[in-house]
Amino acid sequence: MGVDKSNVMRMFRKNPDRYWKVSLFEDGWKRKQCPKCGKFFWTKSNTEYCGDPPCVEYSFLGKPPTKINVDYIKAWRAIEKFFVEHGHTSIARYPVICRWFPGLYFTVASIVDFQRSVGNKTVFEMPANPLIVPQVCLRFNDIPNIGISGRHFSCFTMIGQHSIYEGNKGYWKDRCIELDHELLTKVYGIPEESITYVEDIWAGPNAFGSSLEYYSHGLELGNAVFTEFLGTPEKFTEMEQKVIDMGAGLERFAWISQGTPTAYDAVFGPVIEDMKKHVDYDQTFYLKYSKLAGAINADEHDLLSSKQTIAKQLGISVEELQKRTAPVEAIYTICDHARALAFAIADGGLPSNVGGGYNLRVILRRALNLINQHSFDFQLIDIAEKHARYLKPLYPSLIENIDSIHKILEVEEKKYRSTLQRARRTVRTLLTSNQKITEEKLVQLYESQGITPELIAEIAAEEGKQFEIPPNFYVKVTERHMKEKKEEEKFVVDVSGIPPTKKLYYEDVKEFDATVIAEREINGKTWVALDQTAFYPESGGQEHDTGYLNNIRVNNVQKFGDVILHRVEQPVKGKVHGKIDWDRRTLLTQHHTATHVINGACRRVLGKHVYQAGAHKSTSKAHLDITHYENPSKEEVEKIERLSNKVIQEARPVKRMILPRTEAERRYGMRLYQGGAVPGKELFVLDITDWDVEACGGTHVKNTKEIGMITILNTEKIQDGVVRITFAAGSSAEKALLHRKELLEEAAKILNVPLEEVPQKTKELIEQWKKIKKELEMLRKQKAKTERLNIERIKDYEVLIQKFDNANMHYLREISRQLTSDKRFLFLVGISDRIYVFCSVGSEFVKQGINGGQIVAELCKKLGGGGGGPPHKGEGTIPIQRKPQIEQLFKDVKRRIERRLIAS
Amino acid sequence: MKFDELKHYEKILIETAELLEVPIEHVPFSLKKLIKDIKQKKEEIGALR
Repeated sequence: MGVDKSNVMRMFRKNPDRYWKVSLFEDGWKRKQCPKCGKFFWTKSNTEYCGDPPCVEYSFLGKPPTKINVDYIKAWRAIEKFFVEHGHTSIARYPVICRWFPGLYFTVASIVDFQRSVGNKTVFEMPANPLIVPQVCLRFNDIPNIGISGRHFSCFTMIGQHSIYEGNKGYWKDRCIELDHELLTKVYGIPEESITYVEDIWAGPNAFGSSLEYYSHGLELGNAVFTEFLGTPEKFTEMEQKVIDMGAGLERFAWISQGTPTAYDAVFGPVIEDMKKHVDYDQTFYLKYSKLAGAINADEHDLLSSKQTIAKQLGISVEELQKRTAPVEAIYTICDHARALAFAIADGGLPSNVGGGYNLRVILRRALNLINQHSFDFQLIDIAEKHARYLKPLYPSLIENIDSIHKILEVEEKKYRSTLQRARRTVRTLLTSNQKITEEKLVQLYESQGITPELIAEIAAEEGKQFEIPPNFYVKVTERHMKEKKEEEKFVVDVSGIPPTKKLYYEDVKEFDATVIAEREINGKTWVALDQTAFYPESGGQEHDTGYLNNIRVNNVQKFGDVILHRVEQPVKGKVHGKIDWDRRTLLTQHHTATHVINGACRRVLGKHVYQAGAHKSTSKAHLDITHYENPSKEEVEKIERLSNKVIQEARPVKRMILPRTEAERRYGMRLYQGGAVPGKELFVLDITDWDVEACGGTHVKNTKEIGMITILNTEKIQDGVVRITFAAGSSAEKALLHRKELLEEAAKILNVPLEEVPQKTKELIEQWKKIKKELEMLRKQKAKTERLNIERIKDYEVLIQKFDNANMHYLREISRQLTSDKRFLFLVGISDRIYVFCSVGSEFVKQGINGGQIVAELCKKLGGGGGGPPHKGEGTIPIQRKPQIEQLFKDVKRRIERRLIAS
Repeated sequence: MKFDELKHYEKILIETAELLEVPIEHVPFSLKKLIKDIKQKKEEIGALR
């Protein structure tokens, strides 16, 4: 349950000066209420309206109100220069794939960069105060509007201006708005009288505060949120560290300074200019159109009716409007989606059918579909590369990762093309059957076969049928996959009142003395807490230690907050002497460091897009799940293994450090979070010299040489976009390889050849088997044709109940193949090593209620055998000793058939 | 035994498993089954002739 926003608004409106009035407004600004929307706002002019569309229209298109005209990159440079001159630290953007905060797949706002989970609380940790960041964000809730409204994006840069105010550190509302106002008026030269500040509030799960959104010429340029209270309006406290979260769209600043028809023209720069060569683009027309299209919101209105209204206003038919705008909207959409995909892939995201990857695939397929639909003569890959080149001065990581972007988009495009033909057939069948395509059916078609609504619309048009794309389709499908990332479920134990356990397990302590300080009974088992322990609890995919407390076995160790509990076979009290199973610990440790070594090797062999998606380390083997689009080839696996063993041979030092989180992130970047979000203010950082750095709280060797060796046992794709590498390290690797050698020796013994000749001999045997099989099938056919068959007629039907000597099931099947027809019933028995029973029931017999599977099952069971099958076919066997009873069996079958046919 | 030597034998085993289209653990069993099947088929051919 979050804070009730209406209660916050009511509370603040009782005293607006306290919550919204900033020092800037002392200088002749007035508070007014917009007659159209009812919102309160601050202005220095005589305007009556708040400035937020649709209360006012865009008035900057074609006539920018700024004194500077800047492209996307220069728009940021101007902002960065201003804030740095005013005491801010400019920091590099964080990845768009959010691995450091639980519950989010993507970075959706600049404030997310600094959100961390400590215990059960969300805290803000900033590397500098105050700071600014050009944070690239991904959002998928506006997909229907992208390319159409002129202002919606799936990928945008949020200019994050952040300050934590503690009285003597950072700054608060007055300074924030003062700076933002100066940026607008002095740096960009926007006339002061055109600016309005609209009052609003922000309320999170357990915090709230006021906010001021600022507008000029009908365009929202930024929103400053001032979080200052903890609790609810009914019961709250003032925060000691107040947070300023000012987010402004860089896209909007570039746009207002250029006054182009859409934000896309201003933001995508040379990329969109090139794409426009593929469509009939009339800037004068688009300027007129965009002023009206800005009010389109496909979430709230029906797109077609909005276009009908606009067409009327422009004095043209809706068909003419569609003809002129649809291709341009398509290139805007493709351009946006290509940019979002380039950022996502560069930051380690992969299109897939699960989680956040699902949303990436949605926009990827949408873009490919539009290219197809309009027969554009360009590739999505090329558009992504053009973005990377254009954005290089601001976001160099795009061009640095261009190989991964290329490879992944290529693989995805191939997948898309291979499903397209099949999808077309499915849609045609569906459309000709005149079935109603419900929204549920659309989602099912999309999820199971990748059939987009655009493809259905295209084929419907070819078939002369009506089909309208539901406006909110993509919002619905993406929302289904944006539900919070599920945290691993673990049983909950109340450890309140137990002091934190001192951890000795990082110090290679094999034996230790401690005192039992608490006992808990969980599901009938006894668990004890010690004042200190060298037992490593299960964590980070590493299995727990085992050992002894005095002479009592410890068979499980788990961590609950700061308390470590040990499951003991018998209750134990007082002073204890602990002893760790050191062989087990050594293997777990070797496997854990080996996981990091392999992770580093995977990035070097498969590409920089590789991230850890999960891991488990036991004593006999371990696995590392990585993000990758296909199962690696044999050569790639060999390379990964070779490189990993080279790192072991090089005896690289493995350093474990405890660093303040901000320091660790500054030093090593966000790649630290390979294993996902890590709670706490301090991070355990594991650094394998010049190879791999990750936040990791596991136990590790001090030098890679201690791992001994690594052997990759298997690789498999465990889900779309995730590959599992199973391997063994140390003595387990040797054991696994020795076991494989034993298997080979066993095979060689069976074949009676030396080890080296096993594959050749196997090949020969397979060839021999194939040849014999072919010969046998031919012989069966020939023999079956010469059989004398006693087919009987009962009414209009034919019945064959017959025994064949030296016949097995294959032979009976062959006879059946030659004889089966709708009006025939065959009950065949073959006598060889056992009695084989085969029953074939023609469809006319099935209609009479004769069930072959049932007949065989019952009769075989009666004679000590077994069998069954569907109504049209039954198969079974009976022990050979029952041979004398076959005649009786035939009589039973015949009686059953006659009874049924005569009764019909 | 040396790592490279063990890897060499592993490679031979994997090649055999791929020929038989079975997981490596199933190689001996699968070979036995193949030999038995060849024998049975030969007998059946004899009987049919």
